[in-house]
Formats: sequence, structure tokens, C-alpha cells
Amino acid sequence: MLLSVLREVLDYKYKAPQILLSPWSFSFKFVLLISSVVFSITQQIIIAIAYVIALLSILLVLGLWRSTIYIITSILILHASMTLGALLLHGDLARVTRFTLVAASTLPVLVLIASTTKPSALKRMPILYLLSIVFNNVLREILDVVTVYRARGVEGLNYWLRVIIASITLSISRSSSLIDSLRSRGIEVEKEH
Amino acid sequence: MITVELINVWVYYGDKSVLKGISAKFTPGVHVILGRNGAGKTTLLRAIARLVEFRGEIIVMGKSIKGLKRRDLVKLVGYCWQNPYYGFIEATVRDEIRATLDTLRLPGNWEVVKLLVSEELMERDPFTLSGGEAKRVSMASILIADQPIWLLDDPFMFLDKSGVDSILRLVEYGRSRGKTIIATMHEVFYASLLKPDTYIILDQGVISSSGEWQSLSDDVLEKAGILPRGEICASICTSRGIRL
Repeated sequence: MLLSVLREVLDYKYKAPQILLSPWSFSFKFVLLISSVVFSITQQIIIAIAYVIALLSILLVLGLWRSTIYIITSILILHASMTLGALLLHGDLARVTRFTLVAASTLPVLVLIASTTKPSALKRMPILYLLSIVFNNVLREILDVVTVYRARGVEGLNYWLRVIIASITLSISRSSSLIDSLRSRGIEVEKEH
Repeated sequence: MITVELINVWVYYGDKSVLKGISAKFTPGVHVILGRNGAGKTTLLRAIARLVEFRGEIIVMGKSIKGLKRRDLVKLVGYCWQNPYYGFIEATVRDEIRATLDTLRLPGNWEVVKLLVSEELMERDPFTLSGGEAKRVSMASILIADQPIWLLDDPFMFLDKSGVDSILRLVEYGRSRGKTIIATMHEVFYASLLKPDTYIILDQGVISSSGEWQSLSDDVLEKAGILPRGEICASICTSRGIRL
């Protein structure tokens, strides 16, 4: 499920409405992200839930239905497990709900950012630019690595452990290659020695 | 006119020296750097592009590259890396090709793109391209800036016959426009196709041999651990009118 969500997020850039891909729309999405955190902490719970539903509806309208289902499932599991923990440990249920709301309102915005932001939109912010390139490149390679592991018949916990280790290794090794690639184009993302 | 000059260049990876006091001069034309795997070919190109730290001096178009701003250096030196997939930074081929121009604020030389990339690839995701297509897109995305110096790291990697032909056309185009083209490879057959003016053989970080391409002998190649020009290679090149 997670891998098909990743694929959906990666591929969405090629069919996203132009208005969402434009560089200036990133500022709007960033403000939406900050607002989501503030809104879910400061507003009444019912209003915050309505806000979350509105955000998820936007994802559905955009056609990111796999991501939407994934977010809903994750949030329900998170809320159930945290509530159970709070009940067992006599914790504060209201805080658990607030925490879940923060997660539920920020995740759809993060998916929206990841699926509709081209790296070139972040060119003025070198570190974010590099991170978005690494994110795109590494994600694609991870999907390739996953195919290889499946072809080799790796399953279960071993499969996921290998995927996680491969992801970390790829992120580290690719970031230095990508820094070279950016430099070859005249873009400095870190200070030279 | 000397366009690239290396003076006693040393490169270290940790404690290990990868290039050991390399000195060389390049003029406009095609120059091939040959050597077995791990000989230091890529590192030499990366040093000229200032992508690795080095000791010594590298002068490009009369200027020390140590004192140049990155953007000014990239306007002089176009470095095309080996594995194209490691360097893609944009979501479409068109954006990928435009990336360097947007950074350098140059109009670009779209002739280079025409030689390498077909129009139907322009809206594709670079990661979905085949190896040969990706290699050509990657090269076009750098050389579109029309630098006077082209550094081609294993330019024939991943390429089929049409890809090889497009690289040969590109090199001929560069030669006709007075570019200094320095290409690394470990197969003398591909090197011959480029009709180089000079060669350098690197072995364990030092220049073991250099000179005019015509003077390169099989003995020298064999000593450096490179496959010599055999009869098959000779017959193919002869049929294409290439003098070995």
C-alpha cells in the first residue's frame, strides 16, 4: 500500500493542474501547512475535524485517492493506538485527540506539497531544492530496489528492514552525486572547501 | 592556444592519492584519456570541473579555476558524468535541459539538443528514459550552455548504435566549433571512433603515456591494461573510413 502511495505521489506531477505546479503556489502550500498546525491546536475539535475532512476532500478531488485512503487508515490506527495507550497509562485523551488532529491536518498538506511541487519551484532555497531532488530521485530508486527484493523472493520483516536500510544508504550516496550534478549546472548548495 | 592546463595536480580520497602529480596541456580538438578501471580518469575530469579538492593548479582559458565562481566555471567547463540517472534534477526532460540555462541565464545552444534529444522525449520524466536516452538527455542538459570545454566521462556508456552515432555527430560538431573536448574511456575502439587528436593513458594515478593519437601503439595499451586494437576493431574502423 505504502509503495503504491509513493508511486501515486511521484507520478502526480505529470497530471497535476498547472496552477498547483507554479512556483508561487509553493508559498500558498507552505502557509497552508503552518495554518494546519495552528488551526488544529487552537480551534474547537469539531471545527478542526471539519478542516481535516476538507483537506482530505481536496486530495480526493485531485485524484489522489490512494494517498487519501492511506492517510485516513494511518490516522485511525494512530488515534486508536494512542487512545489505548492513554487509557492504560491514565493519560490525557484531549491531548491525544489534538495530536492526532495535527497529524491528520498536516499529512494531507504534505502529500499535496510532495505531489505538486516541482524541484525547480524551490530553486531559491538551495537546501529545500536539494532535499526535493533527493526525495524524488531516491524514492524512484527505492521503488526499483523493492522490485529487485521482490524478484529475489525477500519477504516479511526482512524485506522491510532491507528496504529501510537501502533507503538510508541511497539517500546518503545519491545526495553527494546530486550535489555534483547541481554544481555542474552552476548551482551551489553547500559551501566549497 | 592552450585552453586547459594541469600543473602538478594531486587528488586524495582520504589517505589514498588518486591522481599523483598530473601535468598536461589541452588545446582545441578531441583528446582521449584512456586507462583501466580505477586509473583516475573520472577523478581527472572532476578535478578540471572542480568537483573534487585538489593540490596543484588547473588553468582553464587562462584563469585558475580555484579563483572562479561556480557559475563562471560552468560557463567555461561542461562536465558530463557517467551515470545519467544519478544526476537528474527535474521532472521533465524539457525542464532538465533548461535547468542549466535558467541558472546561468544563458539563451543556450539548442543545436546541441537537436543532435542528442528528439522532440518527443521532451515531456517525459527523465527517470523513465532508457539508458541511451537518459545518457543523451544528461549530456544535452549540460552542453546546451555551449561551454568552450567539454568533459565527457565515458560518453558511450549505455548507448546503442544510434546513440553512438549521435555522440559522434556531437563531437564532430564540437570540433568544428573549436571546442576542447576531453573524453575518458577504457575501450580503444570507441576512442578510435572519435578520431582524437591526442591521447593520455592514466595508470594508477599517473600519466604512463601520452602523445599524438596516431602514435599510440598496442604495446602501450597492453602495458596499461587496456584491450589493444585487434583485428575486429581494425576491420570495423577501416570499413567506416577511420584510420587507426
